[in-house]
Amino acid sequence: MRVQLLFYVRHALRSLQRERRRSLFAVFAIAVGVAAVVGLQTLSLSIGDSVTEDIQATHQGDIVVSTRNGEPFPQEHMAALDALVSRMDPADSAWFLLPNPDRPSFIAPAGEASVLQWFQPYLVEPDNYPLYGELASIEPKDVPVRQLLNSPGDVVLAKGIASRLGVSVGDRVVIENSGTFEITGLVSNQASGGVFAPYFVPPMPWFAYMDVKDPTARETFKVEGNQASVLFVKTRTDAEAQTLARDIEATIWLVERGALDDRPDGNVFVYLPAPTVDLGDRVRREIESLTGVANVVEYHVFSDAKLLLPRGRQGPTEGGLVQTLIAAEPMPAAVEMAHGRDLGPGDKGSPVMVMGGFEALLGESAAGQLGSRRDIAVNGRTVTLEVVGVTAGDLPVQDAIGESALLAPLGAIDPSIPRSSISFLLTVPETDASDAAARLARAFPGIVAVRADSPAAIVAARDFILGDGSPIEVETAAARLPEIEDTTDVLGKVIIVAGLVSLAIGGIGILNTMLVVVGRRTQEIGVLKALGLKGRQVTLLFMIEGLVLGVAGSVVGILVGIALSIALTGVGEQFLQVDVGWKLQVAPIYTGLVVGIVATTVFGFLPTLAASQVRPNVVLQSQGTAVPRTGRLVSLLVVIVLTAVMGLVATVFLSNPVVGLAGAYGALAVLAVLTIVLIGLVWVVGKSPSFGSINLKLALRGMSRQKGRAASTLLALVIGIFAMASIVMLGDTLKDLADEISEDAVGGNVLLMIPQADVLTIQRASEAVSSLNSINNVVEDHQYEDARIVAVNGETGRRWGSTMVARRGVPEQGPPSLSEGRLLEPSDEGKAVVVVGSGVAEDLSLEIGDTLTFDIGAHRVNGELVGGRETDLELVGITVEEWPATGGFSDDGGFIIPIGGLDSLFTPTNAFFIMTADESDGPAIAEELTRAVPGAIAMETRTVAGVFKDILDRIAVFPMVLSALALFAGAVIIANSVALATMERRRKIATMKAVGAKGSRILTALLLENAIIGFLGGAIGVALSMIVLVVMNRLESDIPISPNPVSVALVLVVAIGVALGAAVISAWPASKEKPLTVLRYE
Amino acid sequence: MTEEPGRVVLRATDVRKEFRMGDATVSAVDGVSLSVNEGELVAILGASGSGKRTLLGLLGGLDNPTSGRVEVGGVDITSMSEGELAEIRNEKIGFVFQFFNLIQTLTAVENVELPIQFSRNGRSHSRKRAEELLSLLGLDHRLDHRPGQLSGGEQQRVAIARALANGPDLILADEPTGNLDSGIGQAVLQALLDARTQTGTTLVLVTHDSDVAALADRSVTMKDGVLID
Repeated sequence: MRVQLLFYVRHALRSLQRERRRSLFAVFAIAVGVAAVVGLQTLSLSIGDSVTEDIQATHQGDIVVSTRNGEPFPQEHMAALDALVSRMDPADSAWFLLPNPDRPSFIAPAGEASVLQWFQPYLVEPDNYPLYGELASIEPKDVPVRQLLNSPGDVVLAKGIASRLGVSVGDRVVIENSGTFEITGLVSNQASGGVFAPYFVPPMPWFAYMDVKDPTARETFKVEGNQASVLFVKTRTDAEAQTLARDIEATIWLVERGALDDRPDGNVFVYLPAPTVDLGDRVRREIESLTGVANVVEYHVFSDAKLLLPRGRQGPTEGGLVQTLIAAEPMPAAVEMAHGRDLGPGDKGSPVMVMGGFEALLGESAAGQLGSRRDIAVNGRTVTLEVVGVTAGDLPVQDAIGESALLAPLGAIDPSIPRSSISFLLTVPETDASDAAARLARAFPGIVAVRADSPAAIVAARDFILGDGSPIEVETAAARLPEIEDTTDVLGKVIIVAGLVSLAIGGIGILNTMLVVVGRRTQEIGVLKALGLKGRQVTLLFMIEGLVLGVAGSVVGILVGIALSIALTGVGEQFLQVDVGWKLQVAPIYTGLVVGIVATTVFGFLPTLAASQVRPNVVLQSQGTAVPRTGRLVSLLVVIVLTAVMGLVATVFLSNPVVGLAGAYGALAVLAVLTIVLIGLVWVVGKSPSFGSINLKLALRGMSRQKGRAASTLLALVIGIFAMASIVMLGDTLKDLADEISEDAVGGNVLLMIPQADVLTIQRASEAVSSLNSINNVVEDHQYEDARIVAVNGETGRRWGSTMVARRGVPEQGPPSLSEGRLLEPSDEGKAVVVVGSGVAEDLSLEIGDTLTFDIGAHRVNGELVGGRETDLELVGITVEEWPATGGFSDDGGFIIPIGGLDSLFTPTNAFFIMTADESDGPAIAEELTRAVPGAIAMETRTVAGVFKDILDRIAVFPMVLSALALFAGAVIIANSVALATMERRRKIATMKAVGAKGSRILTALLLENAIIGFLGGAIGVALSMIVLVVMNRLESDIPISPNPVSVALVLVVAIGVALGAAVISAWPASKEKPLTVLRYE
Repeated sequence: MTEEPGRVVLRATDVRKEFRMGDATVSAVDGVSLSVNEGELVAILGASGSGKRTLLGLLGGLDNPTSGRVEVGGVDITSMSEGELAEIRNEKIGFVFQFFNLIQTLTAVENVELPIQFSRNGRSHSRKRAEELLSLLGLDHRLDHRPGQLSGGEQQRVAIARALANGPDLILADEPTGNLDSGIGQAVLQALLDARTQTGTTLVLVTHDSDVAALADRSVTMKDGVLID
């Protein structure tokens, strides 16, 4: 056996060496797939490592507190957070402010207002930020940013925005057409933390750091007082982070509910939700061990207890009243009793109860309850208690735990009856309260222990515990880890699937190669069989040959893949905006080896099976014969089994056998259908006329001679082109969409935006705009955020909140369609009238002529909206649709009034002038207005679309690289199949040469053949991606289909170019071969 | 060889081979019966297309007859499985082809070793045996040359050595000199005959060369798939 095996290996190696070129292409075919898998997996692992290894740095702290919408914290939250932070080491926290969360900020080089660029300002505390890692500049090299933000007006820009503006260190920039800053440094584009940051940061390299305390920055962004949108906190341990995070969340919740206002003494509320009630005894012991505990009240709650009807009243006691039963120890303080007596220390353990709030429920018959023994069904058991009292109002414990309820001594309820929850209310000295809560929370994971200083606080805490939405987000780095791992895991899977597609394309190459190898060597197989080699030994022989190719291809692929991963790291960094530290990963190397060999075995198996079918009598013929066909049933079985093997390999990556196998079989089905269609196409094209051109005739014949191979080559190309065309065309479509949306949404082509508008600036802007004579249309909008209808015709109860816009002028695209009443007219200016959308009108049943009371400008304090002023407006019109949003930054429509419809005490949030001018005048107008109105931002609306397009371009880079990989795999397949074709046709080529064909003719015919394949592959790929777009359009009609003809042509050129380039590599040497060599020795 | 002289090594009984060519059926071998005794040299003569090569294939178990029976060493090979046939070809029969059919990737000695390595026994001495055979055929200076580096006559002598490698009872040669110049062909034929003399192997050769046939103990002629004697 050993001798035979040695022979197989030696034979395989010699065969491969003998046909070096063919072996080389086969190795490439595998290598390109393996390289894709290895490269992409290394990248995904590196990404995963870089974000999870130093989770605190990724997360920028152990705890990150932020608002849900990116807005700055409300003042009262700020105060509470400040109080928390003030108890910590000053170096353990850092405030961070995104000054304009709901609109872009703008930056321009000083003196060049038209080079306007959108960016994201980050106002940081340079001394503390970031808490983990170092934020250092790349220019000057490696200087911490804290040293670069020293004086007022210092700004550190991301490299990306600096190069876009054409500025460098030392240059001056104007931000928001207001503050002038000096660039003191540049940081890398990845410095922002990117998509993994807790707040939304678009994956853009356009951001800038400024000092939150810098007066220039504060003036520019109109920062008042103590503002922040994110708080980063550093802790010593994960447990500490967890407790503190809970504390922060609870505190903010209590603030939100106004529950921290009244704090009689330092109480701690401990709550054991249902899954943790078994911990009750241990928690009690822990509480008893705390120092300084003055008082402990313990409540056991049975939330779905049923007060059964009195016995004898109605046969078996079926009916009853669902009530909460509370067992307490000691009894809470006395309340006013309507009937009977209060529970006291003497009732400890006695089967008695007080019916809380039953006076209202039962009325006069309540007194009759006294002395009766009532059955209560509790979790399948029955407890009998004697009624000793009925209260008029709520029980004192009600604030703490439940609705109107039955109250009994703790000892009256059998301890074995399961509790719904257990609560403790402790009274500890004020100074110990936080520590006590923290200690309990740490000791018993799953329970809640918070400071709760008043009954209201306890209610708030309970609601918080029960999961009502918190107004803030508090995330610990540790808790974020699984989430980030999930994200990187998904990303990794997407990447791997892309790699596997490349590998499948490579597999087609192996399939073709092995078919040719077997086909060319039927004579040799015949000889071996004549010498006594059995069919399975022949299979083994060729399998080993394939395996050697697989191993060689995998090794080359691994090396190339590692190089690829280094190159891709930069692309990945740009895409994700994180620093991806590249490092050599071991897992992808194993992966590459395994998938390379498995793919070779899988794709090479059928041809080798065919080899075993060669009849030995072929040795008696002087010419080699075609590869015999393996039986259809056998082939089908083999394909099914091999697909399962591929599916299992995919399962290893996707860790889901169903998805892996379904994916493999689904891909098989799609590939099979595509191949059949392509074979048909090749047949049709092969039959097309050659118009008297001998070259074309040769090309067409050459192509249709091996329809299966031509089809599989086409398939490889189609996959690559399809991927590329889809990305390019989707990009085109979305960019057109961006143009359309921005024009439509804004309603003009030049926009003047006055953030946090004041009357003076609006007036100045108005004058500047009216002094321009190149403008065809102007709409002036004053935006009042936080406008609410609070009463209709004086009746409260109907409410609706939105943005109110005071408008002068009609947008370019015309007024909205009217449903009822009338639109605003110029004569309405200064009148108290309003037009609303039909949604509001229907919801509130409004009619024309109604008087609507609006509350405008309110903000939330202690859970209540305060500070707004009310005004009455008459409803004059209802529109069918929502009108174009102001300035393109908000699309919620809302209420529209004439300018002057509100008195001057209302100040607008923002103001906009939307102008329509000749396209060519746009830049000049923007430039002129920027100069004339300091603090206002003038731009062409194209700029807004430009931002979107830039985002698209950046996002498209990564998929583009992936599709390029698939296309490259396709190119290798083409090179491979051309090499195989020329090898198969050596005799034919030599004969043609012998009868006088020149090398150039041979080459031309081969290239023509592949140009046709390239064109077909390109056309089909483009057509398929068009179909996808059409389907998307059908599903989501907002997506217009507008493929750019230039892009389509470009993709076709790429396809043909790839096919030709790959063909030249293989066909060139063949066209140069001396005919005698072939004819004599072949 | 312990069998007594005159024992039948190869017997074909009413062997037919038909091929389908589209709708038509062509009989390449049409009811041939032939027996060859041990040590005998039989030449099968015939023009191109007479079916002599197809017959050789059937005799050597390279192909199955449509009907009839072929026995090698008294064993019916027509009903054998592919695997059993492979063993018979390996151990009982040696082939010499017109176009040599050496494995291009292997050296002369490795080509000769091949059948020994495929066989169930005697693998350990394969190199020694191959060297002896090549030396016998006067190729001891060409052991490590590849087929591409050998002349046609040398290649055919390697093929003869390969046919003799497992000491077969029977050598089937298909126009062994057909692809060689007459002088070289003569030498190769002589080498084959010498080897046969030394090993006592039975030899059946297909040829259309009457000079070659003259050297045979017995000649049979095929025409249109039938032996006409």
